[in-house]
Amino acid sequence: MRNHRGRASLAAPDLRLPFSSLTSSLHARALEALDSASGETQFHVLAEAIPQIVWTAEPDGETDYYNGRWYSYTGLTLEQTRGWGWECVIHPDDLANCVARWTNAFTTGKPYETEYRFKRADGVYRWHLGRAVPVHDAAGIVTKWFGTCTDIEEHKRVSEGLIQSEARFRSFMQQSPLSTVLFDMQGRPVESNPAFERLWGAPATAAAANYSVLTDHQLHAAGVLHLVRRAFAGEHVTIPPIPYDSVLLAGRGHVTWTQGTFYPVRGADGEVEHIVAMHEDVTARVQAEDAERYANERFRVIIDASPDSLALFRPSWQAGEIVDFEWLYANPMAQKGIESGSVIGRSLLQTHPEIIGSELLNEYVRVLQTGEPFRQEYPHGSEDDPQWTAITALRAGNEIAVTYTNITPRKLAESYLSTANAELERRVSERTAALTAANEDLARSNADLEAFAYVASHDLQEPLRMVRSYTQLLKRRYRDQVGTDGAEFIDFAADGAARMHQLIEDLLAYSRVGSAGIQIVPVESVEIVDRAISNLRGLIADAGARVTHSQLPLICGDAVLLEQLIQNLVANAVKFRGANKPLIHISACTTPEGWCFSVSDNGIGIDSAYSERIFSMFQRLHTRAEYSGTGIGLALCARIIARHGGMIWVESSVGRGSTFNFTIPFCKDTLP
Amino acid sequence: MNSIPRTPLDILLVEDNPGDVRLFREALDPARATCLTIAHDGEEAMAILERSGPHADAPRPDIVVLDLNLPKKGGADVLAEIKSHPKFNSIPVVMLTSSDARVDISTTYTLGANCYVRKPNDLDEFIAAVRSIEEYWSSIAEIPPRGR
Repeated sequence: MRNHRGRASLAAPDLRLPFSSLTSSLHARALEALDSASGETQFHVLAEAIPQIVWTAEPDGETDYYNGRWYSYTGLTLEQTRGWGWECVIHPDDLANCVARWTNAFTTGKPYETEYRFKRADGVYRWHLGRAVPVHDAAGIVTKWFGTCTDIEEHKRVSEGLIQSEARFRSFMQQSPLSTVLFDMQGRPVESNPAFERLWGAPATAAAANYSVLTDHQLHAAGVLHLVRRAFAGEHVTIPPIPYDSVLLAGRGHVTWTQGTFYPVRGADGEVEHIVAMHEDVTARVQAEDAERYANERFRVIIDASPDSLALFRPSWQAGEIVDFEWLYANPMAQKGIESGSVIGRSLLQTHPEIIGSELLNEYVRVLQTGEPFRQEYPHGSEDDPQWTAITALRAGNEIAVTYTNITPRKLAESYLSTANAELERRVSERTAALTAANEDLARSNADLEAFAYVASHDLQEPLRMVRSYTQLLKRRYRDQVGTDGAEFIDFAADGAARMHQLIEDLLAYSRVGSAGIQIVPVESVEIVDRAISNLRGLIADAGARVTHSQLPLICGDAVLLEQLIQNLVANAVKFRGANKPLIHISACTTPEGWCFSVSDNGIGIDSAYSERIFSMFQRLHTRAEYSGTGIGLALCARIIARHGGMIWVESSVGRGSTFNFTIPFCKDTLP
Repeated sequence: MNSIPRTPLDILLVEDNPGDVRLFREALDPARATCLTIAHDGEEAMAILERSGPHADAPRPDIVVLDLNLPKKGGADVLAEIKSHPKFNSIPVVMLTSSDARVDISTTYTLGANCYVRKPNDLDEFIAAVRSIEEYWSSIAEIPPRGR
């Protein structure tokens, strides 16, 4: 007994299904029955009591016994099924395998087990589990095979359903574009799909061993952990978009905006066994929404802050015609001054009744129908307080966008500007007239001056010449007769007349420089200098002076005036000579301003305090007794240079000579 | 001086200033016995030349010494008239004036003046100038024959 039971236990396969354990115990009991002395009868009683098909076979595989369930199931007789007769009820697809296994079992003596479809009396095949174990004698020889056939159709069907379901689930999970993860009830990830790996960079199972979604601090921080917990409590929850860093999983440190759903998976008993979570990467969407929100916000801020009124109108139709507009949008400026709250949704004619009957409504309609923008400036307000508004209307789809701009300041400015312009023009014309008059005055005055110069040169000189000539004549003929005093008086008179003559000559020369036309032509300056020196040869010879010059350029100037200039400067240099023989040198060099001429001497020099004053009229630094002169010479020089557009100045110090410099601008391309 | 004295020179001096007339006369070389006729203004000068009215016996001058600034008819007008007159245009005209204006110098030469002398302010120079004129036209330059 012990042995058989032990063998039977050894031979019995580890069956998974609950009823397998039942068959195991049945087998054991049946074997015991077979083994016993009262043997067969007891076995058969037992066999008939068993709810399964029971059979026995000879060691050579010939079936020698079936219990009643076999006959009632198959609807066959003992004769039909004895030996190998059972083959006819096995499903043809399963038969070969079945025969092969059974043959293998009884030839080797190893227990037999196989599944096959087995035809019921009504012709329906049902899955059965066929099992057989050998019975040995004391010598270990197989004396009998004891087998059972258990109907596993129901089990098989459930099992296959499960397998298919599992396969479907797996396929769904694998193929799903949604990141999917399965959590156990402790919140630990059990499984995840490829989409999960794509999203997070690693499978969920890569999470730290102690990770639990129920304690995920990121979910906590995002304020959604309570939703996750509700899923574990059995609810189907949706998690709103949150930023999630996959650093825990893949160490990527990459934040992804994720939106997900958690739902419980319940077991057969209705208890929640797992939680499935599905995620979607909504980063792009969130960013786009953010950008749009930001853009909208910016747009709104600009629109709201606009000093112009901005509005959007939708046409109101009546009998196929636009009769009014409805406010769709209005920025704060557009709503200013409108009573009773927001204008949105209200009628334009109601909020702005002044439009009724005006062209404006027709213009809006035209904009809407033609798409042509409209812009016009409307004057309104009172005469004391004039106002202007610029209205611009543009078609925007089936609506019109209208801006109202207060252009009163601009209009006032324009008006002011035009008044100011008119005033300016008036003043300019007045000034022009005044200038013209002044010019005419000046021309007259110049003519007067020239007339004066002529008069002075002739009429004034004439009487003076008489005075001089006859004083001289008087002196010559009657000096001896008027005595010493008389002679002295005549001398004073002659001297005064001579000085007055020089003064008039100098004044005339000075006035001519200003009044007469200046003739600027190209001229060799060396010729001017030579002429001036030649004019002064008597003076130069008397003083024993030596006048030299370096190479001198071709210049553009008035030869007569420049000759007078050089002559004056050289004469001055001779006149204001020191103890030594006068040495005078004339040179020229180029400067940015033009040719710079220098007339240097070794004379008495000039105190720098007077270096500007000497160029003024009637300025004399010496008494007449020391140096004669009218004080006009250098003023004349300055005037000649001024008329040439140059400058004149002196570099000097007392006792060290003087250098008079003057500039003459270079020739212009086009000579006047 | 000139070793072959010619017929004394006949000068028509057109000068309104008696002081200048006297000075001119004083300046002449007594040895040359120059004959001096005076016209006190431009009209008188033309009358003398044309021997009209009281000037029927006036001599035809060898040269005219002409001031510019004259009453009634100005020196330039007299000059223009002489130089455009078929009978008088060959008579040399010496301008003797106190003006040194460029325009006067160029205008008178353009009008046909034969010489332009500025009246020197100095007595000696004046005398020298007058004597130079006298000498030049009587001894140096040839002059056209006097017509009647």
